[in-house]
Amino acid sequence: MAHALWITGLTKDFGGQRALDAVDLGVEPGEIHALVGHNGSGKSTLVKILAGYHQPEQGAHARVAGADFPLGSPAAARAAGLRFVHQDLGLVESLTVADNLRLAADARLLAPLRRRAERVAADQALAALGYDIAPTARVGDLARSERTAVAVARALDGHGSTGPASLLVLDEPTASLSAAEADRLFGAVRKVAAAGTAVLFVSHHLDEVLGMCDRVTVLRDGRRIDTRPAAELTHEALVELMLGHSIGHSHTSRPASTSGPPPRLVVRGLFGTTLTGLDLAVAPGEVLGISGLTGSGREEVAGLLAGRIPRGGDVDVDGVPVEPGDPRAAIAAGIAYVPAERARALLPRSGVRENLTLADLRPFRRGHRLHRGAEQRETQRWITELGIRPAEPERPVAQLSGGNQQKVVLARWLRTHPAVLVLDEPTQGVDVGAKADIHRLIEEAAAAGAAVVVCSTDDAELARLAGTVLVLRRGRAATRLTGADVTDKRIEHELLAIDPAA
Amino acid sequence: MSQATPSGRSVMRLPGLSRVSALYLLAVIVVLFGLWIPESFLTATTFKVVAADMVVVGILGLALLVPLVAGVFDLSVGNMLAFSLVIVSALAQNATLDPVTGSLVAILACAAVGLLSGLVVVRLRVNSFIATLATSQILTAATLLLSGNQQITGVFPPWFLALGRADVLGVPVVVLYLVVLALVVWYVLECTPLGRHLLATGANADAARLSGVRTDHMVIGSLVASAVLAGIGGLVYGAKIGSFSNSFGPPLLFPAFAAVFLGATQFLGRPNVWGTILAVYTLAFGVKGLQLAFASGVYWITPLFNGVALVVAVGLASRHVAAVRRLRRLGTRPAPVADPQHPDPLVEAR
Repeated sequence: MAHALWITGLTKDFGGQRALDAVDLGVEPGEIHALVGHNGSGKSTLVKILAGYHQPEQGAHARVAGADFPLGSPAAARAAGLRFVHQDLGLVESLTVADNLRLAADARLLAPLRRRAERVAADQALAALGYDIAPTARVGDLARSERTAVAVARALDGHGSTGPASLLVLDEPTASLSAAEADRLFGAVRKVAAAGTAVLFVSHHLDEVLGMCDRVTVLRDGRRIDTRPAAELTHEALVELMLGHSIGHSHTSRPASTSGPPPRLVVRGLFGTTLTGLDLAVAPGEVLGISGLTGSGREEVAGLLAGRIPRGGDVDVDGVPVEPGDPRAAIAAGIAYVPAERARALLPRSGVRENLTLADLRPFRRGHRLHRGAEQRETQRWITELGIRPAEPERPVAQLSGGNQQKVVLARWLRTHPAVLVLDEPTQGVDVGAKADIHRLIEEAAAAGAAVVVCSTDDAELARLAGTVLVLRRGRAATRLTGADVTDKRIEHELLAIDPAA
Repeated sequence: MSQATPSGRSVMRLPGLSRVSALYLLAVIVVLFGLWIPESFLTATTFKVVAADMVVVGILGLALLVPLVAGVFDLSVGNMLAFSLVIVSALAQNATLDPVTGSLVAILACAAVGLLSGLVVVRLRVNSFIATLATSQILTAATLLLSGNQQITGVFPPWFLALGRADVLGVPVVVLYLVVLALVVWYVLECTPLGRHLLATGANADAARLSGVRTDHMVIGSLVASAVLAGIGGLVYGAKIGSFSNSFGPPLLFPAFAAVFLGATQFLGRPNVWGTILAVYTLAFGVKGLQLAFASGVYWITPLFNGVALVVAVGLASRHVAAVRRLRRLGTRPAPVADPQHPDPLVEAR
């Protein structure tokens, strides 16, 4: 019986970095096979290569359902029956369920729409997964788990003339789902597998992995460590395989402040779409780290504090309450916000100067005028101080590297001498050199008396910067690490821990 | 290549084809028609006539520019021209109101309409394109109502007409009005914090808002400004021509838009004052040259020229075209530049 998917010798380099190192993977038809690994282990690179988004290095061989399969081509992946449900689902929210399912089917462009037949087909596809969703429902109105089901149905059903799915790849499908919703989805996945399609299940939630999957492949630092039947593994054993016994570099943590000045930032009952009540207090000079898997609420914390989105709960800065949902009120209170996506913070076609000075133009005002010379001098000062390259104030900011762009955004806010500095993924997409610079700048901002909050999925970064780390799970703070406990290994352990409430 | 000198200032590079294409185009036009029909084209009269005729289009271009900088479309400015003129004309005719007071009323009325458009865009979250399109039709209705669908002539006192027809040191005075308005708009946009906030709102409203810019106020304010500028344009036309007719106003919208978009490719790579003015006159001189050269029956020349010139100049200046040209010249792949929308896989590797 041919494997559904068989890969040997899969290697991928990005510049000088080896993301995957001679990885082998085999998935049987009808099997639910889990792919697990810590951040940076190569899981998403592997999925991207399967989807044809990246080209592997020489020496990789792959077979799908017994036939040779050329890696690195999206068309070939589709033709071979590989189907993907990525984290963002890829559905069009303003269209109905039936419309989304039709989008994937290979129909002739001018063939008339057969609405009733499509509705029936949609009903059948969803019923086969055990879901009862109206095909005329607008996808944007559905619950997250129902949307995931529609995405799965679309992946499976959009075959048209290219044949049934041989392998279904699910990338973190339960990221934002409650335990009950996740269980429902697993029922659907089991049905898919029972029908003969192989399933590759990529996830961080180890309890789900052990509960649902037949076999588990563990990747670490780009290598396949082992493949074992799930029945043979315990949670501890799996975590050990994922993180390894290597001492590695345990990053030094800073001592937590036991006594000292009163906190500058006090948050009570922070409430958002995923967050359901978070309390925190940060003293001047302290760096608080926020960690958590996707869907835990970590992604929301920064935006809620900065007034980007409406919030519930109370936020006080230096004893003064901050009005929710208003960026100007947050800025007036002394909160500086560096968002996760630089695109959200930058004026792309404008120069470094305009971007750097945007938050506070008052020092350059002479009556009604903006004093260009003073602005240029100040910009040049910050460029030199932060080491922004190229050192040209007029250079359009879109031409800078990610690390330098991030420095521009940081400079914008450090200029305002904030009371509270909130950073979301401060070194995402930043090269190693700039990363070290940015960490230093954050430490200096704290030393200058700001209360700093860093939300990040980079555990080493949190371990380096933060004296205290809150690990969030399903909208609440699950664990609080302080002092010597703040190491990257410990944070990872906490992230992978089984949720006792589940 | 820009160099950073030891003092840190950037050395300006020589203007390449993309950033001053309209200047080159204007030079080509003047040389071409200067050689072809020097006796009719290269005369003081021709230059004065073109300069004066295009003033209202220039003012309308400024009116379009201000909201465009903030990322907002104002499609009602053409109708606003007519609205302003019909108010001052009708008040002069029916209420024998002097043009000064009449002008004030007209400007206030335009500002009120601009404010209304702004509120619709910001409070009701209607796309500015749609909102101002609707406003334009309401203005048409109001204009028809106030004019009774008639021409209005002979209602202005001679001193008012002199304001529109005089020459100052050989230059038509209306051209000076345009220059003054252009200077004011330029000053606000490029030299004040307000202009910076407008720019930020147009460049990335999300980022601007998060940096403390009152983006809603910027949008509303820019629509009020465009209404006032268009209102002034209508008054200048009234002083110059002396009468109101129903055909005035909306037809000027395209040449004004063409000038703003063509002007946006000049100098700063985004909509800007001097680029707009340059574009207005480049297009105008091109059309005039063609009109003089083909004396009879060339009523179709103006729109054709406007359309073609717009596409050619904007196409030459497009970043994509520039990148393709660079590729061909170098024969190699261009160096990757960081783009926040498309992260570099080198650094994103997991």
